[in-house]
Order: sequence, then structure tokens, then C-alpha cells
Amino acid sequence: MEPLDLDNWTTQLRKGLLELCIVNLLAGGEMYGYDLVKQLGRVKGLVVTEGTIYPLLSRLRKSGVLATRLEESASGPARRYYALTPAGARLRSLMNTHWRELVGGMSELQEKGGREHG
Amino acid sequence: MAEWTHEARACLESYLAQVAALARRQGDDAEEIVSDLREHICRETEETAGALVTADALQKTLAAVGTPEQVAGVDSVAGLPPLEPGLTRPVRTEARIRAEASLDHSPYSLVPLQIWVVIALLGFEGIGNLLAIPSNPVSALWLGAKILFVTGLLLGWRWVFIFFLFEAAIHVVFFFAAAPVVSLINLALFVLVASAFRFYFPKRDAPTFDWARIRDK
Repeated sequence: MEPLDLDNWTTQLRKGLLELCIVNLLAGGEMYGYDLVKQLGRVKGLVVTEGTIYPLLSRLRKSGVLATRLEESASGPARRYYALTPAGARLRSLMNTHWRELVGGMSELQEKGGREHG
Repeated sequence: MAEWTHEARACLESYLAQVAALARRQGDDAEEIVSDLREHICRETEETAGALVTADALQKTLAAVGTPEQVAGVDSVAGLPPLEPGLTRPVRTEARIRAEASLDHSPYSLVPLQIWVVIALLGFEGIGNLLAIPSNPVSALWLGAKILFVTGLLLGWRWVFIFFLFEAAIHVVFFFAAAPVVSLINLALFVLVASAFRFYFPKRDAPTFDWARIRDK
């Protein structure tokens, strides 16, 4: 039997969390794409490759979770700003509820495992 | 605003073209992604490089942004920089990019602009040939030749490229004295098509972007 590929496991875990991080970042208001990517890069443990965020943002916009607007920039190309749609805000609420349940359940499991083997 | 070297600009365009081709294959909005990515890369590179952006400065930015495959989510481990030491990504060649583009939703996206100009001119001439067929049936032959040229030039057929150049050169010489305007038009067609030489005969082993170089940084 092959051992678990830890790198792949952490990659999949982080990928699944990226959407949650994005909707939570945007809960505070609209953000310029570049700033959004930079802030995601500062989330501890997330370890993102910057360019991979833009396709994700585009998909979230297409699925109605995010809305965008372009703003002209004096220093270069127009800047795209991202914001949560009402549907996105509802999704964020549901995702956070699931996340808290998951974290709670995982904590119980870890404590239980720690007691049994402690 | 910072100035970009020719090499840096060419690298950026090559990189973005690869991302666009892969993003389309994934069914993503390639234009939106490339627009955001271009803005990100330009801002980041110009902030760190200062007044003159070189290819080296650009590559430092691209190392953080990710390979085209990572950005488009083609890698099974997309989202993380899979930079295991000792592993290298295959160098992307013109031939490979063209092969990928053939899987694209827009198979003609890499056809050079000058070829489109030639096709437009041939189209106009072809309409003239079509209308002339009733009075001059030989025009059907010229119309057939134009259909062949348009098809071959669009699909990258090398023998059509060479045949077209040969035929245009013959026309330049043949009409030089009798009809200088026709000769001049054929000369323009010859120059336009000849300038797209690399589209039909790409350098097979010339890398357009050396990912191994980025990974080693």
C-alpha cells in the first residue's frame, strides 16, 4: 500500500479553502484584484501561487458569487474590483457555518484521539 | 511609467498567450483572466524593477505568479508551487504552443495579422473572379486558386505558403512593364506573406519561455 502523499493532501485542502478565504475577504467590501491576491498570500498556511487566484475569481463571477467593475487607472490598465453579490453573501454565511461545524468536529476527534493514546 | 525591454515584453506576451490558450481549454474566460494577470504582473514588476523592466525582473515576478499550467489549473497540484528540487518542466516550443492552440476554441488565434490582410485582399479578388465567370470561364480557375491559398494559408500548409510566394513573384515580374499597379499589389502580397515565414516554419527547438530558468531561481 502506498503511503499518503502529504503534499497532495495539503494542496487539495488549501484549494478547497480558497473560495472560503475569498468570500470572507470580500465580506468587508469590494477589493481590487491585485490587493485581494496579495492579502490571500498573507493568510497563514494557505500558500497560494498568485496567478491561480484569477481563474478562481473569474469562475466565482460567472457563477454569480462575485460581481466586478472596472475602474480606469492613471498608472496603467483599468483595474477590476471584486465584490460579493447578495447570493455570494448568503453562500459565505453557509460556508462559514459548515466550516465551524467541521472545525468543531475535527477538534473533538483530535481530543478523543489524544485521550485514547495519551 | 516604466519602460520595458523588447525581450521582457516578448516574454510577457508569450506567457499570457500560453495562459490564454490553456484557460480556454479549461472553459474559463481567458480574456478576463489575462487582463487581470497582465495588470498584476505589470504592477508587480514595475514596482520592483524601477524605470526599466528587463526579462530577468519579469521572470522574478512570474516565479511568484506561477507557470501557465498552474495559473490555468491544468496541474493536478494547481494552487501550490510544485517546486520539488531536481524536477524541471519541459521547455515550451513554438511547435508545442501551436499544437496546443489547435485544441483551442479559436484555432486561428495564432494566424499572423498580415495573413489576415492577405486573405481579405484575396477575398475581394475572389469576388471579382466569381462575378467574371459568366463572361470569362477561366476566372473559375483563378477563383479556385484563391480558395486554395486562403485555406492553405489559414491552416499553415507549407507547400501553399511556398506556392503562393512563387506565384506572387511570377506576377510581380510578369506584370512589371504591362501593369505596374498589379505588379505592385503582388509585391505587397509577397512581402506580407513572406514576413509570416516563422508561422509556417517555426523554430522547432527555440524556447519561447524557459520555465526551467524560473524554477531554478
